[in-house]
Amino acid sequence: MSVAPPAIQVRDLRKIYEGKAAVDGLSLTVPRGSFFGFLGPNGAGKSTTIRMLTGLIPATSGSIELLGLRIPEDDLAIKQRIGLVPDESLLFDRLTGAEFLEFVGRMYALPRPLAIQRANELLELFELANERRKLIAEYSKGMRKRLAMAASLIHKPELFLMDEPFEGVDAVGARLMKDILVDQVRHGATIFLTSHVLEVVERLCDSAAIINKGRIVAEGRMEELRGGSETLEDVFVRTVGGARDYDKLEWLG
Amino acid sequence: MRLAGRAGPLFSIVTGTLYYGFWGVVAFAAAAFFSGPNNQPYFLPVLSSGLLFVMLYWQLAPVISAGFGAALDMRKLLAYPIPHRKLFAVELMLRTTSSGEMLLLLAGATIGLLRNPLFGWKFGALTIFGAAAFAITNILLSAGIRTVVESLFRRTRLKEAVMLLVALLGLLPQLLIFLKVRRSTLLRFAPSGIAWPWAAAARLMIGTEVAWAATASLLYLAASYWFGRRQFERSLVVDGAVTREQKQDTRPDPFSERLFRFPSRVLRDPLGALIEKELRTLARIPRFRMVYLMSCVFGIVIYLPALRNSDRHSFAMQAALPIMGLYGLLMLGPISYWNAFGFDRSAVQGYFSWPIPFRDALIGKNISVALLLLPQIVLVILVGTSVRVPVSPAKCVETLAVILIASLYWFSVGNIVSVRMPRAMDPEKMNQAANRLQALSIFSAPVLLLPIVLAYWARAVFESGIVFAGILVIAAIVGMIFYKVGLDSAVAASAFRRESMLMHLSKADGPVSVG
Repeated sequence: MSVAPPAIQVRDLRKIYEGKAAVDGLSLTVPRGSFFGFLGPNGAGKSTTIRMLTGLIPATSGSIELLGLRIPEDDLAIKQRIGLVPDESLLFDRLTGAEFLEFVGRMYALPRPLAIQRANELLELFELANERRKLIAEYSKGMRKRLAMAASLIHKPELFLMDEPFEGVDAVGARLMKDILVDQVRHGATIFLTSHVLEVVERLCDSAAIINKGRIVAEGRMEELRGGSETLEDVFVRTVGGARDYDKLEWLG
Repeated sequence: MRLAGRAGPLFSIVTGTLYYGFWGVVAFAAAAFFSGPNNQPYFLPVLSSGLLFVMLYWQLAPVISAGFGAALDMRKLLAYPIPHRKLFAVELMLRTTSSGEMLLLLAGATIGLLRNPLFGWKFGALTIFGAAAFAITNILLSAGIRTVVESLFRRTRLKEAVMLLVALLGLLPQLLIFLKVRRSTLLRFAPSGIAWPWAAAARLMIGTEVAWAATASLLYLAASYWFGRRQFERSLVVDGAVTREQKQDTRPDPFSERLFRFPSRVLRDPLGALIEKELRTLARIPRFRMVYLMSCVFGIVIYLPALRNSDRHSFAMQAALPIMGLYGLLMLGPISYWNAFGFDRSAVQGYFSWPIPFRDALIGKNISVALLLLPQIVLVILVGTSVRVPVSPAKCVETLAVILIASLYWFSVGNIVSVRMPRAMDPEKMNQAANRLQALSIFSAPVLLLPIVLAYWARAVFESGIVFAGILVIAAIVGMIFYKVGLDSAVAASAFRRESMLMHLSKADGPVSVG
């Protein structure tokens, strides 16, 4: 009996910018059906990693396999099966929410009637139905994030790559998004997300990795990472070194 | 890779050299003219007319080309404790970027006068004062005009029509010629009367009627300061968030909806969807709508006066329809095919994230622009029939063919430039300089249009429609090959320049957006 390959398998991944490594020998395996948190301080290499996983930027060296397919060889086949919520806006501001979702659906080869039907259902689900005729330029940041997530769902992907999906979303919107993601995992999808909100990762994810200066410094199932009585925040601060000497700035006292 | 990295600066150097080189030559000619003692009798009329041109160009060229140079974004600066007068001073310095070529021209005339032995250095102070007062008046005026134009941009489509009228002022000379306005009537408003700002400045620069000229110049300076400052202060109290995001009516009206959906009926996805998206998006971008309107009208208004004395069988008459249409294509370039992803900004990553070939994204953008050319061509033909330009079914086919063939060549180069030198464009603002891309369009035209020019030349020499059609067919075939090579090159470049494209197109404007 053949075993399905992992959702994400990365080996010795490197990205060098002008002689400096943004990602430095990263190896990672994310099993299918897991909710994986990818954490790290600002500039640690999280977004660069996600961009390499989606094929947006080429890796300097190393290999990437998503759902058993290799990047960049199987580029189009992989894109058909992943859902992406990037950190930079992927929304066309001069389309309405409904038009954008229909457009994205058609980019994933859905027939137009089906794309329209799913777009309407997603707008309802993400509580954007009343804004369907509004231009995306008029959406708030939270609404834009919800729309981006709706767009990532329209073709029912097997793997989600999300960069700070809850950033700028209010509590109600974030709760809705989390519930949808948990439901997706329950139905067999894999989620790989980055977030600065450690409580969210701690509550949602079953596994996580912490990246610092382009290298994985801690990885494992959530309970393994936390060890005994530590919270994820304690682990994070301990591994990436978060102590700050405020006393030096006397004028701030 | 190294070559690719150098392409951007190299492109800037080439277009900058061509553009400013041209104005440098004009400035040098002005310096040579005004330094000659024998030309003295012509100084007042020539300088007055020259300064009138400078003022018209300075104030209207940015409106027409939809590029106001660098600009301050007040929304990003108001949070800081900076006095308004200092912000205004920075804004004025930035205004000089919108028409640096006119400063060059003015400097040429000033240097010429200073070198003229008839005037010499004894008039130097007056010459410099006159030129400086005129330049500052223009800077202040253009600061006010920019604010007015941008506030018009944020409003309804009716205001765009008003904007178009303002832009058409720049074409006044052509209109006057076309309307056959009598010379005596024109002379009554001759540009050398001392009451005009340019004429007062000219008198000051050559040292005649100094007292009156100085008074008029100072009055104009004060008035333009009042106007510029007042508009600046008004722009500070405008709530950017409200004006910027004024709701656009997106209710589907059956006619435009049918138009937007049309490509999807003819072409399969993803191409159909890409074109549909492109047409919807462009139709909702104020800056694009404005330039599109201009591109429909300007070719006609500029070219028609040239036909006034032309014989019906002359080349000017016979090629009138394609020439007017080509002007529209040329004008659309800087905000469409020369920078195809400019309005997409960071959303450009979609073309790399969705399971579609990047090639389709480029083809979709090109077809969208080609579709937008069709109404232009229809308008040109309609106007042609109403003025005595030869119009026949064959002429209509010829016009369409010539414009589509020219598009192949321009789109081909445009696709490469769009991938190698992308630049984010703000759909609301007009502060990104389009001048250099416009210059590239103009300077590349003689090369890219060569096959078409050759066809017309052959028709004139051999007096044969068959030869003409034959060469056009060859031009079309070569154009298709040229287009394919350009497309392949752009697609190949997109693979390794993806990161740089994303970086450039995701750039958010800082407090000072570069022109």
